[in-house]
Amino acid sequence: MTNPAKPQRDTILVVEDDAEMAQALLSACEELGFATEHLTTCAEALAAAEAGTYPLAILDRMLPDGDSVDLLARLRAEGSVQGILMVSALAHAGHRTHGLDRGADDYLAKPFSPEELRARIRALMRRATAAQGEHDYLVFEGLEVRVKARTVHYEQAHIPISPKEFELLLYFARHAGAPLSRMQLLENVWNLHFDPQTNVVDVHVGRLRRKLETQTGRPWIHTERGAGYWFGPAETIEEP
Amino acid sequence: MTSTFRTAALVALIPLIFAVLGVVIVQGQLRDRLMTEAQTRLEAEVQGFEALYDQRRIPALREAIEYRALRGDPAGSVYLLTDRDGAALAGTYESWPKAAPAPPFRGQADLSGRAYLLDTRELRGGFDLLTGVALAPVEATLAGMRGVFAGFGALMVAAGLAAAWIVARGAQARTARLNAALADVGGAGGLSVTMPRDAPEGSEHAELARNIDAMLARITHLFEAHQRLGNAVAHEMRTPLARIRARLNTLDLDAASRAGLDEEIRTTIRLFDSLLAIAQLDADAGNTAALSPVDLSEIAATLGELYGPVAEEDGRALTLDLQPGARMLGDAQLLSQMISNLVENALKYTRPGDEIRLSVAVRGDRVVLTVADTGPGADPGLRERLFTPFARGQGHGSVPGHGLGLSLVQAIAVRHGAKPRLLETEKGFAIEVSALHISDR
Repeated sequence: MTNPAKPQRDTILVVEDDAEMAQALLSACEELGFATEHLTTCAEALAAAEAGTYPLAILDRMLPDGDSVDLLARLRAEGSVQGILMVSALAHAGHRTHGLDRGADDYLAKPFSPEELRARIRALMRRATAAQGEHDYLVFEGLEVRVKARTVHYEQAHIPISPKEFELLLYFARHAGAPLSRMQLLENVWNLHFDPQTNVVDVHVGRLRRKLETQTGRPWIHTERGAGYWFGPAETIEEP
Repeated sequence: MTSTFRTAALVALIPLIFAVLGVVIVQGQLRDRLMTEAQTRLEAEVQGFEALYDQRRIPALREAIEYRALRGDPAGSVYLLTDRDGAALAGTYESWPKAAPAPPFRGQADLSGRAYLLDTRELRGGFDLLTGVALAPVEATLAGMRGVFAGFGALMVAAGLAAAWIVARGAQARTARLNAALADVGGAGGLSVTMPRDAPEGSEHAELARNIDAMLARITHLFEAHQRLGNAVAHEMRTPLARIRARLNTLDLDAASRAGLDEEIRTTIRLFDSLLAIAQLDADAGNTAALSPVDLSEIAATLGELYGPVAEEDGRALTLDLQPGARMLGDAQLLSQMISNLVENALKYTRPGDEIRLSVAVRGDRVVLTVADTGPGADPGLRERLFTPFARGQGHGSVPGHGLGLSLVQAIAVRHGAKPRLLETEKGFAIEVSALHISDR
């Protein structure tokens, strides 16, 4: 544990009392190249937030000294924690929306795959470190996503896609290079916080992927085994 | 008029009925007494006259009657003495009154509109004597008494009704406050509602309030225990599953086996989630505090958009018929999950080429969601048990799912004060959920 008196700007605060889960959270952060600070109680988390600045805090919900949902408003008010990822075994749709409503940026249900966890951390860290101003144009080697006009062009040619497909593409484009899980897409593009039985997301991603590939002749959306998908330019169409 | 007031009024009126009965009896006795007195007076007069006649003959009798008639009697007695030819010799009449019976007679008679106790008799020598005592004072006394009693009766009725009203108002107000507090139970206040304690200590209302509070406290305790258990189960089951999942990574597994195991874990989690969600929803049923106005058509449109391509790739047609403005009090996430379950159910139990229709309509004061398909429909034997957890279509062993889909649909519907209903269709399967429509503003 680092000394809270000397906060580090790229340190992720991990608050989890279960040793094994904490290890999983810490190693996910470290694998992504971030420093970590491990705490086990709400009180410690609050003290750390008062003393330092963190781009992201990962909070377990049921901590020895209380429900960390009650901590969210105070952490937010402190202003020193930019992103909050809640990790919890309390995980049906009601718990999730409750956590998000109270101020968490993302809510991940236990158990989760390490890929899913890394995808969430990466998305939140990117948001925390990204420039504040939103660009109107997101450009990837000839593929142009026009945010305000809500259209997509490849080498000046318009690619017809549906409004929902555009939202999906925009979310991908804003997280270019980062693996995104199906639940992440469902939560952020469709605002649905439950796990459907069928792989509805795969169908939508598949359609968008095919449209982009047919129009540009190169792959843009890639399957990340075990994690989901990632977006970015690639030279050749990968084998399914 | 409340039942309490009716009861109190009845209680007040019963003594009045007995009082009236008493008055009737007393009046009868009084009348008898007064009549006896009148009889005695008449008897005394007649005997007096007869004695006078016996001792001193007609002139004296005539003189006596003359004197009495002239002097007048405040009570209004009447006299008449006639000779053998019927000519009046003395008295208050010029001739024998038509209404007066011929002698001998003793009884009541009306003479020129007034009631008298009459005695007519023939004296020796052929003289007829009429003596009458007026009954007007008797009637006046009785009428006076009736007046007094009627006055008291009216006072008693007024006092009785006033007392009944005061008693009823107090009881009614306390009952109304209890009812208002009870109506909050399970509503916005959840179970943490206490009954008003404004009734005097020791009264039935105070005891009732105390008993209801004790009952609510017990139910709250059971609910909380239930919820704690649910959360504990969720936590205790998820944490080991999370570890299992984390360790899968360290194992030397091929991608296919790992994906298979991942899917197994995911299915298990979904099963927990559904069971816990059903328990939570059942506990929350009727609590409107966490609900907000939502447009069911908009939610259905999002789900339609989500599942349209899925249906298309599976060879089913998903058609939408959504009437705008289908506003209701709801939780958008739960309603989305409900529609998702219904649509996935339809996808699961239909064949390529079938149609699935998702519609939302406003019918009267209800918002009605219908999901209908042209598939093979449900087995008649299964229809009864469809909403029971773990009931699944027969011969669908290969269809993925845990048999909680429709139970969850039912729990979400009940959470919104609605109830899912299977529709009778010629073909396929149709289910309807209707909830209370709320106006736009």
